[in-house]
Amino acid sequence: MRFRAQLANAATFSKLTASLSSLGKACWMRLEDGIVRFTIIPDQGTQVWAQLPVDAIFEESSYILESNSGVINLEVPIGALHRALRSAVAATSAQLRLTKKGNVPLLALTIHASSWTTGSNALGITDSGHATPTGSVEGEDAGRAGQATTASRPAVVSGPRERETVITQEIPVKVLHESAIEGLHEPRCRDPDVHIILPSLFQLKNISERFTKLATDSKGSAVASTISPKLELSANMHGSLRLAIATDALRISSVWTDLVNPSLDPGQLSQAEIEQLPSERMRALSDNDEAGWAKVRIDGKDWGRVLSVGRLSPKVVACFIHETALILYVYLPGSWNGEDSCLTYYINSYAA
Amino acid sequence: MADVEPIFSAVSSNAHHLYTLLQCVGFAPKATVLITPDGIRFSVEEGRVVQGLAFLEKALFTTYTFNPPVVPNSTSRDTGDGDDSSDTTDNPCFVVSLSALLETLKIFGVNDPSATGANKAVSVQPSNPSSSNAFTTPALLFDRSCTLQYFQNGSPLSVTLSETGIKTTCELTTYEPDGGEVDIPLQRDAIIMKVIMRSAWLHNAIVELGATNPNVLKISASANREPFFALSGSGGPFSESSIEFSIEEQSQKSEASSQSRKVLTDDGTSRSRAKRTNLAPTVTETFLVSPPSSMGSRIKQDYRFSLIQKASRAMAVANKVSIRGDRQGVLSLQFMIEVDVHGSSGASHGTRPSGGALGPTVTFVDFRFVPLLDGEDAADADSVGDLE
Repeated sequence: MRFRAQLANAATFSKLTASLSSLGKACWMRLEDGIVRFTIIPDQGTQVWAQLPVDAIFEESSYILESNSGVINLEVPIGALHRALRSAVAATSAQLRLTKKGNVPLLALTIHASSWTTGSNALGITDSGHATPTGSVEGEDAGRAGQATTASRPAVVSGPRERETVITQEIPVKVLHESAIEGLHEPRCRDPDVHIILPSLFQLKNISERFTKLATDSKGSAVASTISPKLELSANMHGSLRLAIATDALRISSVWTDLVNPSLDPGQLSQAEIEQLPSERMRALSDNDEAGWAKVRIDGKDWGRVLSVGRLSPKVVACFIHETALILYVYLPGSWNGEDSCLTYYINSYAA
Repeated sequence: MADVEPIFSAVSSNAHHLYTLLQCVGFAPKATVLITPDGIRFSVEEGRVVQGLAFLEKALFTTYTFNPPVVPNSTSRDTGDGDDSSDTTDNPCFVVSLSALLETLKIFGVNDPSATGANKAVSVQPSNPSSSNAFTTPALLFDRSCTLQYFQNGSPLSVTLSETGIKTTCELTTYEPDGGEVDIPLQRDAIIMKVIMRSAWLHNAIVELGATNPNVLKISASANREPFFALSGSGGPFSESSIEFSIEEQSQKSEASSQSRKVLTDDGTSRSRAKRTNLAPTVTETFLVSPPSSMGSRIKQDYRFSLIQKASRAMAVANKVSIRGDRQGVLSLQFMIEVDVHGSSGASHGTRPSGGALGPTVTFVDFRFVPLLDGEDAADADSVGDLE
């Protein structure tokens, strides 16, 4: 079993892991030929099923995957992977590989970073074997993520020069047997009632957080801190999205208008099939008819964590299944048409 | 006609002004709202010992429509000062959650850094709740319209904020006032002290005294003996500290009689002042002290420091403050706050007039405090007994 790849897009990988780590601790990482999948299934809250083409994060030419089944399944502590990747963002190159230390399988991230020193010998170090301050600082940071080893090789020339630092971060992982994951399936849902492209997630997140805070504040009792308020999110097929929350003291809602309800790909469904879809029935209702709105009730805090994916500045299509679930299809920039790079969030609706 | 039109409807093109004024009295979660033909009054009180009043004058709004529910109230009142409007029983009066209203008013404050063109340099973080100056908070709410509506008696107070593409509506449940909402009485015919000065001086003094965490604020004023006007904090875990507003050195030989006092005369504006003939601290514009004969020549009164601190947001944003005390010791702090309703960027200039053709609108925020009585540690709301 072998896996090794050069990181092509450490910034994206880092943001992706940051968003995933807000939803759960353990991530099922499935390496396949041409595709990398990340799945988080927390005990409670939102599930994420992400699939990315290898070239979205790795250099395709350096991607080496050898396994009997052609697939490697790993359980990765996603937070630790994220912290390790943070130091790779500014690096000149970084490599991720599966290795072993004793009996513990590891993902080893080897980062080559370079920095410029000013002056002929600013630190007064003559022995090139010493660790530099740059190296040790990064090493400390790395130490929190896993075990890290740092080696620096200052060149022995004088004058301003580049210093290369090599950081190796080791993230202990579990190799999952095929039997451990065969019970895991992506949720299946009926066709959505409303599908709509969400406005800026940054804006949506801010308003959602403020609503959550309003609801928490106005309760003003001890129970408020334990029970997270439920946001009511609804949309229609006429480009409107509504976010609302109600408490004893107030009822507040924000309505976005002129959003896009994306049309379905006629290549995949026949005209007759499209007309059968619930979303087309909803589209037929007039835009001031309350029946044309599909509504879900979601946990305010969980929703805030989901929206943290906004840092990847994606396009997000929200699919509403009235009173049942909200499914978000998050397309990373550049993959809008390819659609092979997609994070799918499954959010259950709470009963009223 | 009256059954289709709301009782009250007002549109402001700049919700920031409303936020600035209302957050001055945002020390308690609930406010009593009184809608009058001249403006809308927010009254906040705590334990019957401190009361804050913010009067949002008609002039702050671009449109202001008030259709009194029963009989149009023809009483003419002085605008700009909510003091006299409490006798209007026909005007709608209700209680709303002030904290929710304030949160609603700043709902757009953190949204889109690109749209806050007036103030790009500031951070896009939500405003720091500990920040005492509304003008230093991020570019909130500029150029966004805000509509306040109250349809009929008992209906919610609705606040609508519009911005391109988004419209936020907040319906604040209105509660009936419990009837005990009585203003703290300030005897206007028995004012024994009146001091007007720049509000920043008072703010600095209270912040300075607050550093030692005192329980009691002592105000001491005298027309003819030093210190003419002094604030001191005592009863805290640390030693007493005192701030004396003294007279400029050259006009009066004000020896440093006390080592611990802080003298706030090193201000550029005060130096340019002409020599004064009467004995008044340099920083004051008006300094009138006329203690009744029972008190001697010096007025001394104690207030709970934590209550005075509730006015510190108003102190920070106001231009001037009028400090008045009546014979019974009730303290009134009236803050003059200038907001430029005609220019959306006016608020970012701080408290100075922006020099626009139309000029800023002056609004007032009032605070009243019940004094601590002699030898009494806790403030007693009911007793307004005599002093000393």
